Amino acid sequence: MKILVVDDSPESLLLLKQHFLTLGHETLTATNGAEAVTAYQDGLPDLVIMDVEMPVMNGYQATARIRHIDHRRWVPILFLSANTDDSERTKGLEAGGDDYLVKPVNLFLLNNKILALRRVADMQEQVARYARQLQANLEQNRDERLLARYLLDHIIRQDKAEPDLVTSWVSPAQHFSGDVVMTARSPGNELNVLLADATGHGLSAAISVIPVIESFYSMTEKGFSLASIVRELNRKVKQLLPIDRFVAAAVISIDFTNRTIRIWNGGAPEVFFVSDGGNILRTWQSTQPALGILSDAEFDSVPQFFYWQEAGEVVMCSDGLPEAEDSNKIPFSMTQFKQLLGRPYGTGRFNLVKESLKAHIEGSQQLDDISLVTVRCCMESAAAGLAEQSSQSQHSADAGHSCWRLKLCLGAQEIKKLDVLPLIMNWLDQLHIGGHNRGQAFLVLSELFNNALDHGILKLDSQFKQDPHGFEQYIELREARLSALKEGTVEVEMERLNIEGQDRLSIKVKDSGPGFDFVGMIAKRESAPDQFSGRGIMLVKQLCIKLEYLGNGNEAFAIFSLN
Amino acid sequence: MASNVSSRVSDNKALLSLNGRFDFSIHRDFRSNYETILNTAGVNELDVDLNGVDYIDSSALGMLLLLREKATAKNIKMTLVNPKDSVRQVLEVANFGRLFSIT
Repeated sequence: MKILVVDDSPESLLLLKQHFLTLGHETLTATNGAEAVTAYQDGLPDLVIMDVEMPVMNGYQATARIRHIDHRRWVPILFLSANTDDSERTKGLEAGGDDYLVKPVNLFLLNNKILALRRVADMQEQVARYARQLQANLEQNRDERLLARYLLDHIIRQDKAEPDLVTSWVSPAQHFSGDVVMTARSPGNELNVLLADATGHGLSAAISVIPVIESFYSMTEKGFSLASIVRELNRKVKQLLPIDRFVAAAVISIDFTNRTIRIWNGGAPEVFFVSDGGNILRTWQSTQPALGILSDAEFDSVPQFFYWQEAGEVVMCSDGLPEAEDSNKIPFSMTQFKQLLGRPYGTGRFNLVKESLKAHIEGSQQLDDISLVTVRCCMESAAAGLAEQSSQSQHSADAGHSCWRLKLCLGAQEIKKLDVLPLIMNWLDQLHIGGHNRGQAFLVLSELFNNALDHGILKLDSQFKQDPHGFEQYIELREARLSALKEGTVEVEMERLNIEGQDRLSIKVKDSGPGFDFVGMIAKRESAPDQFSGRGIMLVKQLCIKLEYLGNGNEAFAIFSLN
Repeated sequence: MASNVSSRVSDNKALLSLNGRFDFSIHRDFRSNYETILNTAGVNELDVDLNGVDYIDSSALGMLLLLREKATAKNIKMTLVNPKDSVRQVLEVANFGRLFSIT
């Protein structure tokens, strides 16, 4: 230990110096307060033994100065004085000293005092080290949090938000939200909305939800069905996250042209369809465990289905909403939530829920992330139409000379297993069918392919669809027949051609079924435009330059213009 | 915080009892208790008694999944026992009936 000894008496100084030397300490010396301050600054001692009465500057003044010198460590100062008065001792402590010893010095007592001060100094040093470490950790933590925040803010694509249709509110329990709301449009312009809620909250939950985000966007854009998307999300979460982490999710896919909603709910609270009058017309419970729990073989991705006959909203929330507790630990509850939804549309029911919930949790700690989403489903198909696929490559100007032909023959096994449309769309992307044309091609293709499959191969009667309630039965029957399918083929042929200098795309879809009365169907449809079935085929007719049925009606042929 | 975990083993049967709030804050106690059970030779049944639990969150569900995985690896049959209605509801929403036997 390095000890600074300050005393104006050369004898005392020598005595103490010798004493410390025999104990194995190094010493610095000063004969007055001013020298002591300089020696302290230059020598950085571990302990100071300070006489009180000295010329030039006394011990109290020197101590006060020393205490003003900013040092990151604490150095004990021990006073030596002939004065035994209590008020003198107090003065010494007030000046910043740590202990007081009366002259003449009892060396045994001095040793013990030094040991005691040393213990305190060591402790002090340890505390200071922890504090520095903590400070460094805090700074690192802040940097990492800023980076994570940036990443998370950018990975959820705000440009894909649909402010006219989708209203959402996410209130994180901590800096980061493990709840995420995403929207994206398919090439056929269906609107997919995902509410995902990862286990726990905070940064660990926010990280857990990342695998879901990119897959949701890219698969939606490629035109994969809801079932395929959900299956992939499950596979990804299962693969990437540890066993005790998973992502509860409600995913919906809305087809505004046909007024249909597909929904998959795994581990999320009930999802509602609330009419504009404020009636809950439909409730979808969670039918599956959350994403990332079951293996691909155990996982069931078949969505539920709904056809809306009056305008309304789909309402989704995370479990943080019904479970949010007030200061008396009373949860907000699903009952209260449903009650608030029972108001007519246009009376601010979304904000009512939000404000009521905020008032409810006022003054209590929010334990989980809370989110609320509504998606508008109106009767006009204003939200339908064609998607501008901004992310797709531009249609090149010299494409008029481009010619190719693509033919695909699918047997029963392929029809059952493949998500055919994204497969073909992927080729079209490679062949630079982009922009406006991409959505158009998807719509025509999906309509013709689904007709071939539903009516030609699965022999489903479209009369079913006349009755809106029948639509759901229709979907169930479709699933059942598809999984039992033993034989049948569908051929898809696409050709890019140049007709009289015009750039055209033809699409031919042929099935092995018995065909149907196409002429009769079109006539019926034109005479009763509000009818449900055939709406899709009328849209195709509008999009195409030419649409005709060949053979027994089992072969559809469409040509449309690439521009 | 009134929350605790306790366990008991008699012959081949183990009982893991949880009380109060079942969330991430008790994961240390939860783990040390189930580790004792899993390390006891001869145990082939594990009842997780949820009767004293009045709140369960998603991290707790994760903890149950982890325990299930570990129990299955040791051929131990795991059952969730006696949840209160509010907890049962959470288990239902999570469709845990497909993963656990719940009585």
